[in-house]
Amino acid sequence: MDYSFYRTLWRGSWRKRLPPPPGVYLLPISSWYVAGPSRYLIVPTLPEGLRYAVDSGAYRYTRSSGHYPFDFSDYLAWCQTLDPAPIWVAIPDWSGGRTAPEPTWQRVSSHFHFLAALYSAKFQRLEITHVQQIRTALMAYAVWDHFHSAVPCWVPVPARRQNGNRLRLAREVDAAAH
Amino acid sequence: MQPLIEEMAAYYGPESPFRVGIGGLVGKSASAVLEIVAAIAAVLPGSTFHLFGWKLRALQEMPAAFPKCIAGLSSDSSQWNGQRVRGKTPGKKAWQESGLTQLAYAYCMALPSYEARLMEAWKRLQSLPSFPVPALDEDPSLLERLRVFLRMREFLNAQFRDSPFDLVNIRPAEEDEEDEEGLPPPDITDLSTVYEIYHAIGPQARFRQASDLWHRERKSFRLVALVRAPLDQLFERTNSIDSLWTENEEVVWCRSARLRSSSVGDVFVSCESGKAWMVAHAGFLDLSHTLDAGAVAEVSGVVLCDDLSSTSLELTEKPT
Repeated sequence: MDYSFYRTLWRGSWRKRLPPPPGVYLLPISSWYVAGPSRYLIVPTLPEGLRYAVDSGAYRYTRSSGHYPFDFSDYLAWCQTLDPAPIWVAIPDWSGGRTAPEPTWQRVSSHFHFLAALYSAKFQRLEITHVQQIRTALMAYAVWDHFHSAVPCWVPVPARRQNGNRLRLAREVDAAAH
Repeated sequence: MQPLIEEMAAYYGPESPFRVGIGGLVGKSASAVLEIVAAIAAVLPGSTFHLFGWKLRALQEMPAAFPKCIAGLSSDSSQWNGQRVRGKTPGKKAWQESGLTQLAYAYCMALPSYEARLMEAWKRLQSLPSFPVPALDEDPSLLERLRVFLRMREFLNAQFRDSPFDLVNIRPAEEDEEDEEGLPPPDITDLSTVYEIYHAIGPQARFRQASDLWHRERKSFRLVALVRAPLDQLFERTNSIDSLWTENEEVVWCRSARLRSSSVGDVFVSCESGKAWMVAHAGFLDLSHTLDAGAVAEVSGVVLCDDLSSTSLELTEKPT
């Protein structure tokens, strides 16, 4: 079984005058996103030939607020601006360590979240991890169906926070095979 | 997601960097990580996995090797870099004595050391017996959920073909400064009086009672809002009279704050029943005989049932 290690390349470990040594890296977008009134994403000038992947920052964001502070279009635009291109890009998922339940009364802020919440409600899967599962699956299918060729390689992230949920998820996909 | 993952794996091919990510492992014990990976490997044998945030300590403490049905593994960590030489950690003294900058020390000294220990731990892991792949119980209800989900995928593909970014809009509204006051929070578990508002677009549909278009050319209609109001009040609630109608408290969700008022040719779809009505010159045209109802009704599974007249959306009580 092959094993490879991706060195996280966060903003603080990046200097133009000290390029990272050869190897494979992971760029978490969360480290390159600047919050505040003038929110923006920093696009690092990467050395030629750098091999790296991109992480959507799911753990960082879903653990704290439960939501990404940027939109998928921002994420995709950032990935497409990077040069050289990443070898793979993680599809945004909801797999953070947030344990508090989603408030039942909440603003429906997008069609995406509404659909995920509605599906969860229909099947009485209202725990936060259930909703996160549906969001993750919906996002993965939508990205694959509509943005298939936007990056060199999409990587789905189907896992969930709790072991039991992972087992359930595994059973679900297993059921699909029968 | 198994069908999707298999489709992606086949598309990219075995020589590609394609893999399946496993997130949320931070803080998990070595045994828990092993169980998680084995459970997913049971469903996706032959896959390569990337373990987000899987650290050296977890690798060193693994009680067994990963199941042999896994093709490959990768992981990432930020532990290798300059963070380790901050504060009172043992590395700080070594860094200071090296005469290097903190980052140079991280790249030249800390990183090779970290990776050497990582590979040593990986080598140890390979000498351990493999963790068994768990047997998975079947749940007949899962097939129904999957069927509805895949039907939803099909419908959304058609609905958002021309505007896919609208579908994957994930940033919450509270992040928008101009939307601070916002709308009263909707109760998503009660769809009894929620309607989808479709605006007719294009010259052949707009301001025309083109009921046939709803059936044969859905792209002439765009879902613009969800409104909670009785059917007989919908037209008034979706017209800007003294102010923008999107600011009405009955609006649960809208595609944009600046939408035109509803007019002849637009369609209202009940989220509860899936029935549709087109705004006519006087009153509404009943379009409910169609099985091809709106997006939300589609998701709810109403239109997936064989007998529309005997179905209803069953929702749970608001959880406490």
